[in-house]
Amino acid sequence: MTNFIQHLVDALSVGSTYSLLALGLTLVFGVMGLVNFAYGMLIVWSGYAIGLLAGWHVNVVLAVVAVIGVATFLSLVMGEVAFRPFRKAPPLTLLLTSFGVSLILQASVRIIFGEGFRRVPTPSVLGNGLHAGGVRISVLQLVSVGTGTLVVLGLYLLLQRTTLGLQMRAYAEDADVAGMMGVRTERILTAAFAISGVIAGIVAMIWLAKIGTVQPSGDLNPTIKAFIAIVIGGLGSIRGAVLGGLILGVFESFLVAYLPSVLLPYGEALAFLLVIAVLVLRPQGVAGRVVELSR
Amino acid sequence: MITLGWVRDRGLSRGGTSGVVIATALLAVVGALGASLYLVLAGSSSYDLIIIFGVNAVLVVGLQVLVGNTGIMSFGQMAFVSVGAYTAGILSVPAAQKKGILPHLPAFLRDHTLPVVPTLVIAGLAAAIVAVIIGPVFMRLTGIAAGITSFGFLVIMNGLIRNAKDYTRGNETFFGVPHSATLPVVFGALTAVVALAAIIKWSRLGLRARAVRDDPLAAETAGISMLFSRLWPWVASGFISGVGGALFAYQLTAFSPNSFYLAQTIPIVVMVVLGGANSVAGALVGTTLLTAWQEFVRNLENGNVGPLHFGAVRGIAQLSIGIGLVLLLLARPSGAIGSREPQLSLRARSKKVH
Amino acid sequence: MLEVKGLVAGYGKVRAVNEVSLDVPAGSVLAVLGPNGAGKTTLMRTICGDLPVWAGEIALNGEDISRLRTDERAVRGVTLCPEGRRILSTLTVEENLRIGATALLRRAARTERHQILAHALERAFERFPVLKDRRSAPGGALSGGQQQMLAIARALMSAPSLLLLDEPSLGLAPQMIDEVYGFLAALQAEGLTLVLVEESSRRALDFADHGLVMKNGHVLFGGTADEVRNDPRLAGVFLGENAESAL
Repeated sequence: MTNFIQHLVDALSVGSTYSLLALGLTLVFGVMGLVNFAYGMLIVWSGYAIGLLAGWHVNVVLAVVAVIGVATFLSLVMGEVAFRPFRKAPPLTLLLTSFGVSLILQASVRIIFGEGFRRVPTPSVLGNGLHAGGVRISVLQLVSVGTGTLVVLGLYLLLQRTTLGLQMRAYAEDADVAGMMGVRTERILTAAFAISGVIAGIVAMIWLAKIGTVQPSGDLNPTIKAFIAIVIGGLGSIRGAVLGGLILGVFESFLVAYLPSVLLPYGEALAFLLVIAVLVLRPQGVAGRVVELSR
Repeated sequence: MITLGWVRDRGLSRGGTSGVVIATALLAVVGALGASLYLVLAGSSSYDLIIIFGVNAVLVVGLQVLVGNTGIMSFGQMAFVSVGAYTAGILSVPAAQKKGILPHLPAFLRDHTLPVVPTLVIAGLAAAIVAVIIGPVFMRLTGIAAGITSFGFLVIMNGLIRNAKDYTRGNETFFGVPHSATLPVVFGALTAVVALAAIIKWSRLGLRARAVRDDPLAAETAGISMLFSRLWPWVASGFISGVGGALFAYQLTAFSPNSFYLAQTIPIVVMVVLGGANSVAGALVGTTLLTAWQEFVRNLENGNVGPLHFGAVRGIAQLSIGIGLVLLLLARPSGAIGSREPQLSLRARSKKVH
Repeated sequence: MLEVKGLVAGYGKVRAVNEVSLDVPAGSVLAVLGPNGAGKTTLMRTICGDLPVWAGEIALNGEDISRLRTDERAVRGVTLCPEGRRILSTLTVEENLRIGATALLRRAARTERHQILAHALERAFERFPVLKDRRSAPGGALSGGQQQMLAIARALMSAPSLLLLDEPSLGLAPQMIDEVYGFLAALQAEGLTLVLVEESSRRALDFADHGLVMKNGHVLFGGTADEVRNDPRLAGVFLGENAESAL
């Protein structure tokens, strides 16, 4: 039983991080139909930013703000320069474009910082743990679940309770009609990339604190996790991203714990089997918002 | 009179089929001859480049057969390539060495070695069988869903290969494959593969698949099964990619599961888009352009441009391909030659008969 | 009010509107008629800014608006109630109306927006009581007739000076059509300028001051509603259509 609770705690911690990753990705998909493969590069760039800031001995609070700033800025540049010209292109062209963008961002990391790992310093407090009845919860796990909850709540309020949120939802469903009604449509894309960038900056700090290092190709893993989560939950759905991330977290944690050791190396492959099963059997995802996938 | 012209893949006329097949295959042969001539002129240092071009071209045609006929983009082609490569490796490592490299192989595989041509065919068939098995699942999907699923297929296949240690050496390097990627082997295979792609394209099956691609609803109303019409190009794509995988193995002679992953997928996808995803000839054009560009920037990265030398900068190649891809999609999303194909036609001089 | 001169527009490479000119005086109603594929919808979408102008000019009260974005035209008072209604089905009825008020609020001072919105909502619910009962329902859950009411109410939320209506009676039951035209008559009485696109000529011409008949992207003829109604060419336009559809 203690073991089970421990696995549940781990699953929740990992899952909340996946949910955050998926939120940033699904928001942009919902607004413009883009599955942004370059999203993970925001996390890699944030990692190098953390390294630089730590080297300059910047105060932690200031550093957190600065990292979020870097990710938001990059996300905005990416959206305005690379993706805005494609806003009416089919989803597949958008996906291919995002491959190009991720190559550009990755190559610039290589040119500026070189190949190889770099350590990402984290405040030592995060490593401390609490023990309760044989279950260990680290500060980092608490922070990641707490941050995840706050971000989800904040995003929900933004979308449901503000005029910008209303306009974003209207634009996501019918961009032309939103324009006819007077919505400044060109600002909606900007807003979506800005919010996606803020979320990427936040999740980057948690993700990198868990891993401890960053390298130019470090985008693949978080991008894949986010992809899996949004497909399981349903593309373009906020609720789906949260659910999909949590499901993936539970799936992975319990797989490691209860799978016969022969099957252990197939962890990622099994996660993708789950994804393919969802796509074929329930293309609208677990959360059930129907999104037209075929165009 | 023999004329060389262009045909588009729109419209359902099947006229001039053989002309297209011959012209496209001819293009591959002329390419090979041109390459050989270049070799003679430039010296043997460029030999590897020509071989790399040929192997790439087979892989790109393998993807084009799928994209061109079904409109579905796959990011999982490297799964087929890895099946082809490992199959070819198991069949062609000399029997004497095989006991050391793969000691747990079943006896009939361990004690025999096959020559090149049967190996290429079996490698292609092995990948085609994989395609037949997963096709009914994959071919239900289109667009983004298909893209993600195909990538999932690659991840799953990669996991299987890493764990089938008795056959693949797992994460360790698979070595001892003879260097059989010679000019005649690679370009012979390329010519055959291009001809196969052109035949499929202009066959009844290809026409059906493209009818579904252009208007799925109308095609289904006309009684064309969406699943089956997509399945054949998918299996052909698997076969060609498997053959390409075998050539890839012959070229590398040593490889590991990492040799068949996302980093190798993106150039293939870019080549297809660059030339024109709806054209077999476009696949060859795209391969030529990107292979040449990669070679150029690779020299640039190492600090050599012709007689010039300067400090090495890693990442320029990747940067240029990324920028190039975005600009290409913006300026010419249909690729260099769009959906056109070269066509040879035999036309008798018009005689008036009274 | 609205002056269109030599307008050319279309989709992709297809010219759907060719050298169309029209003039709508303030407070009047213009009916644009013509068979399927005549270019009526393209004309409406180009006037509101949803499709780009290839050539020609669109002037609103003397100001050239042909280069403005859709939302900027909405702020200047041009609102389209689009073909097929295009209700935002995942948003509630009230949210649909709030989106409709975007252009109105952009004209107002920041401090007054809250009050203006509340007032506009109240007015919409007075005019369409059925929407008040269903204010929290998602737009997609409404019946066809209710959706048409919502589409008109949403367009009116921007307090437009020029309202473009693309086939407002399409797919509605006869008594619903009567109701819709009843609302339009009330709007006309309030002095709103209307441009109405309909395929069926009689109903629209009875209601309009002027008529314009289009075919294959061109204006065939136009004039007062009576002139158009009595024009012998009118029967031919739709006769041709009937002959085609009979094939």
